Amino acid sequence: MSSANAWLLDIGDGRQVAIGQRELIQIMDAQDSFEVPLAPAHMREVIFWQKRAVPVMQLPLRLGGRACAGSILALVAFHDAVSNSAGLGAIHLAAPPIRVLVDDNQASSLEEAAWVDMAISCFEQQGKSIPVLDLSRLFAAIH
Amino acid sequence: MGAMMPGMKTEVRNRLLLRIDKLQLMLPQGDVCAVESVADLNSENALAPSVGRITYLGQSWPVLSLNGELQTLDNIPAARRACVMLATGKGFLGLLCDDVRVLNQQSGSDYALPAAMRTANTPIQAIMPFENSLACLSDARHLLRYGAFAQVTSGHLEKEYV
Repeated sequence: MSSANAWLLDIGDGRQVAIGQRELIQIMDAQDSFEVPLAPAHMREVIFWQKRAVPVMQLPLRLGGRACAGSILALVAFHDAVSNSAGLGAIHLAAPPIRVLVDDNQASSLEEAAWVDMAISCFEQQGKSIPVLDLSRLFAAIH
Repeated sequence: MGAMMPGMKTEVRNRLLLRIDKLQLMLPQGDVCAVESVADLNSENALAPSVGRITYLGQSWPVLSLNGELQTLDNIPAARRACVMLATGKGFLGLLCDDVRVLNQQSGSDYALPAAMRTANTPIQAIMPFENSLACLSDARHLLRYGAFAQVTSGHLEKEYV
């Protein structure tokens, strides 16, 4: 049975998601973000980090819920298939990330159809279904 | 790229910074033909989505009023003082803004708008941190394809407008 470390992210609106251990780059303060007119509602903010413009995602809005009011950002890295390079994105969090060890026995199916386009898998954690984000699809997609 | 010869200077293409509410919109200076005063705007019989017409080079041209979200307004907020004239190819189009500044292009580095933030109709091509805020970069070509700009400059309305 194999296991892997992951980060559990509280994205607000009573929801939790997970990302791979190495996908989380840094935790940041959300107060330095700027809003871009006409950007998608769940991706209106941008931050500048190490000479990169980084889109900031409000995942609950993408799911039709309420925006996360927390001031914590998770800076994440993903593979950008278009440029074949490392891409960066940020996700609003309601609480600091928690590291968890996940094994194969925890695998489950996605409960909400809305996650199908945004998650690569799912696992059970303390009775809750936790989608594992597909960061490449979330941040590389052109809306 | 050719080598720099003695006496040659690197060409610096200036940009104009338009402020519309909290929006800072940067355009290439060459895309703006003139800056007129909103006091010269004639709002009588305005044909939507324009809020009136302004005279430039001896002819009358439609003028658009937007808010800081680049949404078309049917009124003229009190803060709008200037009207920049954009060439449409067949005439001109006015855009109201609060104020206009000429910037040196080397005042900052611009970044392409991240792919996930691009919507099909956005005229914003790039962004730049500027004076503790954000500047959005566009140009006349992309603006004229967007929303009310495209409506005024295309189709049957074109004859009535420009």
